[in-house]
Amino acid sequence: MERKRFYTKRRLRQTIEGYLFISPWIIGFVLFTAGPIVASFVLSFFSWSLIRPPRLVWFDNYVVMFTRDPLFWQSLRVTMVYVVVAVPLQLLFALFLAILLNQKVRLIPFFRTLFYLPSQVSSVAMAVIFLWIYHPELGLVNDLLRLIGVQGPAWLISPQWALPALIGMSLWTVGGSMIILLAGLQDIPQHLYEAAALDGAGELAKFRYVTLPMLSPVIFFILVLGIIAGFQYFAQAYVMTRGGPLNATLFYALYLYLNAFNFLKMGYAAALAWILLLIIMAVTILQLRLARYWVYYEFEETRR
Amino acid sequence: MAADSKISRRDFLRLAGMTAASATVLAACAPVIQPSAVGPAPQESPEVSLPKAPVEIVYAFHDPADFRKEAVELFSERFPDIRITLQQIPDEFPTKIFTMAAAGTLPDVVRVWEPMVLDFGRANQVIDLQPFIDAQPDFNAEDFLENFYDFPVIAGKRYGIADGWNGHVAYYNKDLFDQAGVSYPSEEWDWDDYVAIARQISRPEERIWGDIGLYIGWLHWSHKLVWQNGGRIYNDDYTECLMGSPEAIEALQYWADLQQEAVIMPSPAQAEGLGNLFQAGRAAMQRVGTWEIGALAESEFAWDLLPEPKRKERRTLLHTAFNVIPTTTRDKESAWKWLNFIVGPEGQYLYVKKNATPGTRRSVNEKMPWAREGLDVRWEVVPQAGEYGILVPAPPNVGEVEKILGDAVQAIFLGRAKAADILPEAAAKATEALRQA
Repeated sequence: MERKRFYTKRRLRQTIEGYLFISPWIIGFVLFTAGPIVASFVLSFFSWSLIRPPRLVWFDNYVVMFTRDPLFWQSLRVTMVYVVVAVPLQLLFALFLAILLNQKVRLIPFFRTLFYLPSQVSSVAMAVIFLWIYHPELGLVNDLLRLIGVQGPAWLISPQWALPALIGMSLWTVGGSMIILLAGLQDIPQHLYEAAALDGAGELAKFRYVTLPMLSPVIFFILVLGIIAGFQYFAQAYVMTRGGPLNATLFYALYLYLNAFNFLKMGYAAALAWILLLIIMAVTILQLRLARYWVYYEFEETRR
Repeated sequence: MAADSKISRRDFLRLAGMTAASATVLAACAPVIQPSAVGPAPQESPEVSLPKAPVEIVYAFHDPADFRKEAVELFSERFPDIRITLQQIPDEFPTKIFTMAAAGTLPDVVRVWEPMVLDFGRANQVIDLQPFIDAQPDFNAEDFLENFYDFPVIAGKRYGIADGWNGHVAYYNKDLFDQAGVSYPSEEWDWDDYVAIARQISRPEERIWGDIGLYIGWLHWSHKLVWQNGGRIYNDDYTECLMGSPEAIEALQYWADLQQEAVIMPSPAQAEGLGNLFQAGRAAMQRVGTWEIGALAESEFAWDLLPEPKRKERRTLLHTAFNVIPTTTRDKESAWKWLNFIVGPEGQYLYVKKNATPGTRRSVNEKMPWAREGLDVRWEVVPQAGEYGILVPAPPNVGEVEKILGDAVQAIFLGRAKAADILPEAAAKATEALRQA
């Protein structure tokens, strides 16, 4: 009995000591992560302009968002178009590059570095570079189009072409995904290709029946992260177009920022942030549910 | 517990850990106290005479700190018991200032822009300066240009005092006029004269234009066109937006049509990213702020200034900033001494001379601090703008209101909508946003 009490006391002391040692992290998490999350949720029920006391408005911010704010729907539309078009395009382009860079040719490490480099450029620097690449008179894109007899549009000041221009620009930064896919490609056992060859599979069949299934967990991972990043797209639109022309590039995160710091509607911006979180969560859960139909995990075969 | 019990190593470590953790929590939760918030040194004891620590006043602004250094030096000689710390906030200035206001950590004196001064005044974030002015016998209010002095006043309370300013004027390239054989314009010109001259000079095929084009994403720039045509953007108490008026519609459509025609000015696509065509010597005229004088002082072509052409009224756009004292400032007396100095004749002159802009005091402008030596330019045009111009409006809920109007003006200038179709609806929405504030 005495021994058991001693054991309990010692365990309690160890537990307290353990918490004390990790307390800097816990305090940091509570103050700088959990606290702001809770605060932003509470704030979403208030009207607060930063310079006046907050006023409780209950669900007004959410009601206004869905019923009386056309820019909310516009920002959602722009963001959805970007996610639906840009994310798959980025994935396809990264996969294409990864396959190219998986070939046994001379100077391949040099080429891998070369194709990875753009993803290390800061998004703001990249935006400035692309302001010139898309310049209607002097830009590289329209110069190339002129070579084939096409007069290119004024990309970033055209309501029709500004969003496609940003989608095109996003392909420049697929280096990170490309490296992950390359690692995935190199992880596919060679004997699977040999077995497929013995069965008479050509290159396309090998890609369809060996490479894609074996790569599907990596593709799934990139897709999940890409979609989350797509919903949070901000920096390039902020630097290059500020949501214009005529709100053609008014991304959701940019609209959220405008509400917070241009319109000084912090409560409304907090409500927008929570709706974005719900959208991202819903899409991610949907992806996880759908994954079972197309993502192949090697260990699952043995488990079944 | 026995009085002589020793503290074990483990207990010591536990105690130390708890103390450190508690200290961290307390430090994180403690209110932020700026050095500037420290008031005068405590009363010295009669026996020991210690030197009094100077009071620190933090002054925040967005333009270069160099513009202020001479004023700080002179002020320090006059008031050795007050130390001025300059805090330049070059990027995201309003965002940072509003965030500081929310946190209660605004610097002791802040130089804020037009909408901010009224926003802060309406929200009681800054103090009424009139009692300080009334208590200052040598404060000559009549020396100030009324346009700037009367702006930051709500219900008799004066929330700020402006120092330097910029007004929009017309610039013309004499060399391009001479090459085209066009005589120089007179001060009495109007929009039609301006366009006629531009047509005579423009040679779009050679990339020479009469005018640099419209500032499509700059809403305030379009305001002066409405004013020049006899219209107004808002009513006097900012409860109604008047951009749906016939004057506003006519003014914006007039210039939008010229932009779309792309003869006297480049199309938006042609102009994009090319920088300032006037500075490059490829446009004969431009209508923009007097800050361009600095860049043009070194240009290789001859140029001159005129008031902007009018339509029904002589109007232009004015920009300034107001020095305010936040309510959170501890030592308001010291803050006022600094504020009074920088808006006073000496302090203001040191600032505007360095910045090459006119001041808000008539006595300062007699020295023509904006004029550059060796240039044959009608410098008197610059201060005149301060008399007939209108300051950037400062409606409540300014961000949202200007987003609504900015989208509409952009659509008109890009040729996506007709002013008559879009402006009445935009004005109604803006009015609704004004009344929500």
